[in-house]
Amino acid sequence: MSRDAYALTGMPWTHRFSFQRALGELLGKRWMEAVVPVALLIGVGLYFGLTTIGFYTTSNARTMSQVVAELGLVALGMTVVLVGGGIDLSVGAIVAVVNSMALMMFKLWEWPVGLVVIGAIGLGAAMGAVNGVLIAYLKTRPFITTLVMLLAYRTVAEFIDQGYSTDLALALRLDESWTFIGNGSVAGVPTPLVILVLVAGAVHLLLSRSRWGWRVTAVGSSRTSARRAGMNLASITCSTYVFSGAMAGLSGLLIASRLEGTSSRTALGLEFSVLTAVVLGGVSLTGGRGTAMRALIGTLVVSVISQGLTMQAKDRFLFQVVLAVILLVFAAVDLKWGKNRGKAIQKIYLAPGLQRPEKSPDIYARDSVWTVNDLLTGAQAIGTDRLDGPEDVVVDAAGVMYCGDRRGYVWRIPGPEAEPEILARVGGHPLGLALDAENNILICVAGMGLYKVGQDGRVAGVSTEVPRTWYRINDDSAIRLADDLDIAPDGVVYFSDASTRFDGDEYFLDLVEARPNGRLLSWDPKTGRTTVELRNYAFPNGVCVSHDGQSVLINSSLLYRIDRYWIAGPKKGRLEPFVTNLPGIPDNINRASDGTYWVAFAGMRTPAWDLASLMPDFRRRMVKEVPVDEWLLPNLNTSCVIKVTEEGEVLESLWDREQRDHAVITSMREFEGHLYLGGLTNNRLGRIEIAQVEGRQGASRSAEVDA
Amino acid sequence: MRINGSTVRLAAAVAVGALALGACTSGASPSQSGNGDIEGAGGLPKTATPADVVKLTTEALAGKVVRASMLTDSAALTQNWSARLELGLEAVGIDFESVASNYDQQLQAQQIQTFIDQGVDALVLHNQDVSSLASLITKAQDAGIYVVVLNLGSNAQSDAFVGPNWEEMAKVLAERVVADCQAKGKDEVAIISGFGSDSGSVSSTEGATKVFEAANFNIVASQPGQYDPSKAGEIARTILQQNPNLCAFQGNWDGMMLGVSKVVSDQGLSGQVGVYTTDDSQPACDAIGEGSMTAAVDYGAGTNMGDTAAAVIKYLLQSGIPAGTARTAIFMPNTIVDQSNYTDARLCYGPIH
Repeated sequence: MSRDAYALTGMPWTHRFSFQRALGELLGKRWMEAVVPVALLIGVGLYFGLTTIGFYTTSNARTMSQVVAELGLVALGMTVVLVGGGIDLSVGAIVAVVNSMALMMFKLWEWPVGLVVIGAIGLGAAMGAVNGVLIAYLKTRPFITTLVMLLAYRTVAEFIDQGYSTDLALALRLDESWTFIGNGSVAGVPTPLVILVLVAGAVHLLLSRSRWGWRVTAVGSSRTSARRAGMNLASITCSTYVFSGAMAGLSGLLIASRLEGTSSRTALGLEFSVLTAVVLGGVSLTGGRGTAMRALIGTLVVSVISQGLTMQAKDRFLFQVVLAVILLVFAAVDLKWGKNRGKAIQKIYLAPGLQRPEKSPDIYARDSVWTVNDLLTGAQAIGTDRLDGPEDVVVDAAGVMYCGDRRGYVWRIPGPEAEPEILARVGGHPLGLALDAENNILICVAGMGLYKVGQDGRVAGVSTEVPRTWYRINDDSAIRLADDLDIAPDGVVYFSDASTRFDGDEYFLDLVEARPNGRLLSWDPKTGRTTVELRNYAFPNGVCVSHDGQSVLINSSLLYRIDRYWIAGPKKGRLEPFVTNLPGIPDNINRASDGTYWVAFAGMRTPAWDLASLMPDFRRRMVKEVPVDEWLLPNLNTSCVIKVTEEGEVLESLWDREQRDHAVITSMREFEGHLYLGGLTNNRLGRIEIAQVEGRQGASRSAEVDA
Repeated sequence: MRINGSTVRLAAAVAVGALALGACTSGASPSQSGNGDIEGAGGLPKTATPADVVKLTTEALAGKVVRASMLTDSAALTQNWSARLELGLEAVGIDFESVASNYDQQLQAQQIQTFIDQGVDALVLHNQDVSSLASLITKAQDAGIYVVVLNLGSNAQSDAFVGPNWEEMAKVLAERVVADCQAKGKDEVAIISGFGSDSGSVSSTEGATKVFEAANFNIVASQPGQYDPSKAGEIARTILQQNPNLCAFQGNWDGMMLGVSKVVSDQGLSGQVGVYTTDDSQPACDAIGEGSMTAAVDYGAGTNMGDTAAAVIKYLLQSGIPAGTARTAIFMPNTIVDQSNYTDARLCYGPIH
């Protein structure tokens, strides 16, 4: 069970909740795209439930399930075609032909039922293949082609009806497995519904998980891109029509088994009901967007209206009118929704919170520990212009430096005078580093999680997710902004996830929001499990295991403080303040050789931002109304390094007054009398000599703590 | 589930036996709805005052629910049925609604299944295919719902079929065709049926064919016109082109055959090529008056059939006979309508207003 660090913000508990934030997170959910169709379904469901006696009864559900299944199967086929960027108007005619032909196979030719099933679906697929070949290989237009095939297949249906309807009507053949298809049930559920659910599940998997489904989506989204990606457009397009035909065939088979009647009017106008259904479900007519679930939702809407009006014994024309009106209103609402949802999220996702920082210590006071000096000026530059944004640096026992790079590289620098070489490419933005007992480099990679790079350059994920918090709207299982880490004597890795709401390169948005969105995680190599140690921690940044190995020090960049979290000993599990009300934004923290700690300030506090912290409404307006590059932001480019004792007393500060070479310092490591400097936006590492403390080896080897 | 005929008959036999036994052993116990002599048979007591008759009948019928599913609500024929049923049933307090399926079998099946789910007391069906609704008719009867089938019959036998004896009617009409053609010295005829799979088409084609074959006539075509005047007109046009010596068209339903008579008169063949049909709505009688149509058969479709159906329903609902056990067919009488009698007020029905 994790500890809640919310109290550190000093805000009342009511401040935990934000309507705007909840709304922003809700809107961001993928399933919110379907909110209008679902609302529509609930709406019509409620309406008929309230106005029609017996609407919610098992018998009515059974009756409806037959309609739903026969319509739904065709809708699933249509969805696949639409996702692939086409349209199939011939489905109703295919249903009619297959209906008659299946009856002929069964009644006149007396085929075994299994063969009739294969024959019916195969016939549907073959009729779909005609569409597919014409459209995919002969490059005819889908709309016109399938419209022509609709007429052609209708003629076939009529021809069969003219020639065989009397024979079919008079022929009698009883077969239980035939009746089972359309009228039977499996464990009380009507067979057609069972078939629909199975097929819908299959279509869902095909569209969302299979190579074929992804290709269909790709072709429907952008034919040009799909072709450039090397896809065979013709065969993919053709296959969608074959699939749609097969679904129409299956539907025709169900109708044949259930009604045993031929009529050239079977499924007359079905194509429009099906199109209405899928459009109401939110399947895009322009291709690339649609799921099996949405096809089913739309089918349900149409079926509920059809059944509700049937139960009310209303004239059939009313059904068409109601459907037309709903389609019109829906299309308008859904368009607005789809267009504006993204905009709305952009405007409201960032929900600034109130923060009450104490008055900052005056760094201009005479002879204070904060007095600006030149102690870091003239630091040796390492890897200038080859490195880009090494946030952290770590030095191994042999004096070899390792650092990350915002392009996703991990660099190895054999010595102060040596040229940097790329050890590995991890991706993301590697931030904090630590060396484990085997000299592997453990890295917090923003946007990815905790990774390990071996000396052979091999990259392995260590910890990329934690169990999801059930009550949070946002999925917080991913580690979005892994920032810094350290390794405890028992091998457990403690690392910070600075924000559960913003990704790596948007870290400054979390600062603008100023809410405790971060957490401290631990990864246990013995179990391989990742645990949330502290939640609701305000922008946890640097992490460092104390010299005695009993606690972890955490920098809160947002609250300008450092906290001590006990991981062993009598106080285990307690969270205590270490240093509070710092004048800068603490970034990384590391052990010094003399039993104290080095802390880097990524920037200094400013009166303007301290004031802005008190004014969430001001920041909200700023976020909404001003372009990002004109926002007022915390200062992140005036840096220094400070030294803090085990008791939390600040001993001194080291500055580069001119800031010529190391504009921002986000990290420092002490090794053999030198301080190595890293900077999030610098193009180099820095190295500068400091007074060496007798008898200490330095603290860059993180696992070496005085246990 | 599908119940075949022998199962139904067996069930009926068992039910009747049980009823008979019940009558012997517990004659004093009240029957389900009435005072008849047979247990469960309902009806009125042997003697009753007129006031009692009204009271008992009203009690038996008021609040019963009857639903009808017609193939269409845009034909004068079905409009008349619905209107006469509504008049006859609502007069005694029965809740009646009629819906149309627009010739959509799936929709009609959905409507009937819904009415079965709702547990109505009786169903009226106008059925476009002898087999497609058969299982639903049986299902309704199993659920205790009386089923009255209008005009077009089904393989599954309803409690009552109300409509023409199609084969007989087609024979009467065909005999008229034969007589007229023989008088003209021609022997080529064409048959245009309805859907082809409805009982009207099946039986009337059979009846007409028998008569024509007996007279050694040449049937040049026998095709379904889908009860659609324009489709039937197209078929007639083709047949006329291929058979210049054609003597007559015989077909099902005047609504469709008006399309044929229009083609015949457009080609200036009225009088030379006869158009014979069943049923006689006002437009058909007008065509007879003009001479573009030769003769029609009145079977009371638009006049008495709805009333007859209403009467049968009221009878079934009072009778106490278990649903599915009566299984009767009530045929309507035929009258040939031609120029000699088309103004007779008892023939030719208009649309509902």
